[in-house]
Amino acid sequence: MTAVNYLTFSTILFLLAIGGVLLNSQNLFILLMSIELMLLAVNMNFLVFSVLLDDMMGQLLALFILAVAAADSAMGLAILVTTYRTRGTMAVEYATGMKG
Amino acid sequence: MTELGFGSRLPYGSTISPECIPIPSSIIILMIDSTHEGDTYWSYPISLTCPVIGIMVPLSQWREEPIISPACGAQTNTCDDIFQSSILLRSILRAPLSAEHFQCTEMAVTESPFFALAATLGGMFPRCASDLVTISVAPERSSLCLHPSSGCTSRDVRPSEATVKYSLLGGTSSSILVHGFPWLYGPPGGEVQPWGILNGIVESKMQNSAGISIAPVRIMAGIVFKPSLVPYHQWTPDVYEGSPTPVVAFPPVTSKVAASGLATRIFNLLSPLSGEWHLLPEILAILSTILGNLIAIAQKSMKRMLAYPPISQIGYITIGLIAGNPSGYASMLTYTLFHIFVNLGALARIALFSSRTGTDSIRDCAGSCGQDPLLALRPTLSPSPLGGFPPLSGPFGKPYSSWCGRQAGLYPLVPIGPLTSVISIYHHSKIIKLLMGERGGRKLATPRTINKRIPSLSSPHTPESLIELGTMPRVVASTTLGLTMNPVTTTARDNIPNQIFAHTATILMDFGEMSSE
Amino acid sequence: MNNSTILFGVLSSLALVSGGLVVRSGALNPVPAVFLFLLVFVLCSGLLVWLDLDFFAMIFLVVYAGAMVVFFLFVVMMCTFRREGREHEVAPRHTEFVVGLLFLSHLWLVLERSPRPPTPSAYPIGEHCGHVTSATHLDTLGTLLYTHVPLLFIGSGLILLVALLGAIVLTVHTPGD
Repeated sequence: MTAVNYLTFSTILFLLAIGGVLLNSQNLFILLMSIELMLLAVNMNFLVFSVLLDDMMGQLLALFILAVAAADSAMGLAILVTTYRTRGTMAVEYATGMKG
Repeated sequence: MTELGFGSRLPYGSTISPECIPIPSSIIILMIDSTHEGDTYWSYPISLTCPVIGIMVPLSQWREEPIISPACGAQTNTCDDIFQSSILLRSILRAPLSAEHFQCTEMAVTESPFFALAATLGGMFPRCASDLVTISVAPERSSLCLHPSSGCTSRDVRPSEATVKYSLLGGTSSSILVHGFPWLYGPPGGEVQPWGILNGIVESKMQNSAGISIAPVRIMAGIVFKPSLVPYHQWTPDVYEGSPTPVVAFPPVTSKVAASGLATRIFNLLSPLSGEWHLLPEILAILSTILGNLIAIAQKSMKRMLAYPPISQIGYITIGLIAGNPSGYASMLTYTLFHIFVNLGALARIALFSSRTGTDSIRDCAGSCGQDPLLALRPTLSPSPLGGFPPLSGPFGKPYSSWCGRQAGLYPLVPIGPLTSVISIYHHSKIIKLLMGERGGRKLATPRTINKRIPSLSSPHTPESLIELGTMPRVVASTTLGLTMNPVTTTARDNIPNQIFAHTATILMDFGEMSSE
Repeated sequence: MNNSTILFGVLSSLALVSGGLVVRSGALNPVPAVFLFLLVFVLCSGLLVWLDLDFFAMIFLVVYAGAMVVFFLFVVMMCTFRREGREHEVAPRHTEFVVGLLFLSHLWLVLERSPRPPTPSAYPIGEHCGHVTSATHLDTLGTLLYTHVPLLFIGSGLILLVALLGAIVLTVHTPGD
């Protein structure tokens, strides 16, 4: 029950999410969720360090990253909606409109 | 710290006064837009005057030494002023382009000035980023503005695809970047200022610990995405091809410039951490200068082809960054200026060209010189600075950055400049030959008539000549900057504050004494 | 092996498992993926409560679970998904089972920490009255936000404004078909 446990937890979560981004070739939704999971892991890291060091700056950073994450996901979802309307699918492997 | 004069009336002194201008003006644009339905009369003048005022402020308070504002952690110096001015300059130059575009396509997106201003602001913020909070928040702002304006509202599949790629990859890269920050914040003892972090690391003797060594890797992996160094360059051609030209002309390039401004901050922080830190960006710089020029040869689309010279230019900028001495920074700044003029000019001329030919395929433009020599002259003139013909600006920048690389002992980087110049000269002369000589291209459309529009200066209904008017300074700048290169570099080099390097050197010396004991 | 270790192990491993399921559930219907995503955030806020970061636990619940996941679900419903890829159905009991387990663990926690009779304080309150000031998380964060980094606060507000407008522009200007 030390900080190392928490840090290990958030690192594993981050690696899972990176794996999701890299390996996922089926759904843009899952990609977006993986990005959110990455930011969650970052936030956990900041919060754990902040508690560990008894310093408020980490929590402040976590708050800002939370705002950025919210903005990111809102924009990403809007883009997904327009993509779905123009392409009619969410799959990554069909994204071959441009080559070069 | 106590700066009197113009800036002292604004909150936090003059540190952030240039940033104080776009915020109210963008909100004014929004208010006007919501109250006057469909009336865009004032939007363009406001979006034009705001960067003009903004560019006056840093020039009017050309300061001798860096200012650190205690309240918000903002830190500025002359180097950053130049960066900021270049972004604002770009914002001014692209305004006629976008006015023209949105009129031509009759896609009256009234929000586009707002997003342009927000992107400008996002590009300006990294220059006063001196703590982890700002560094983590700032890059998002300029990249978020790209998405709504990138034309994925049309029925075309390509813009939406480009936007999806950019947004998802950009989100991933910035989360990787941000994940490096807790490891810089936590282990050294809760510091958010770079010097505090460095001191913390040195005091706690953690240079070789795992947590600290994770951080540079993650930060490096995250930070090279936005300037699109080579392994991360795939989004650039897609965005260039998929988006309308004025959009290409602004947000991606702003985020590139902003990211290289940010990279100076982060590299400053990282360089004392480990001796081998510049091996990775060195390899990336070499790869992107070579590949950026090589892949461009194989392109069939005009706009897609234009995406590759910036990649190689970012390589040169990175050389200046890695060199890490004042002249390296000077070369980086001058190259950024060239990048802005040349690249935007090329885009504007390509936009004119493709509005006449109705396509952006290179083959279709073959032989257009016979039909309209003046028009064909423009695209031939525009890439040549990129290639590096002697009277133009390119060849002066490249030897300079190569020289800086040699000075800093980065010998593998030195032969890259001449080599890539040869490749790109070959490539561009091929295009010129195509435009001049060959037949079989599409017939040019007649120039659009002007009589529909009211040729008034204050009117947002721009005459067609406005885009040509906007092209003129760029042509002049991109051709004559080569001749005026020397004053630019000396100004840049003399104004780089030595405090950055002095401070780093002190810490390094302390560390050396400690480790020798 | 005390209670807190067990609880941390349970919460974090559940969060990791559900995170892995979110990542791996590519070909399936995204609705369970969204619920698993929600579960990750709920479990993480449980961990935050254990770290005494109660404000952040609440913020995680409100922002992620309350706003973001609802947004995700809304978009999933709007883009009515055809089943792409395999028609392989995963037994749909996992989420409910995990949520039930979570409730059980909370119940156990509450029962285990049942109220004890108050013990008389060794330090009488009156002695320190007026000398001790306490600042909650909210106080400290508010002070930091509004007096130390107000510019960043405005800046992130601007990011949210851009995101709001961008989402509206993107979805409104789409040509209907």
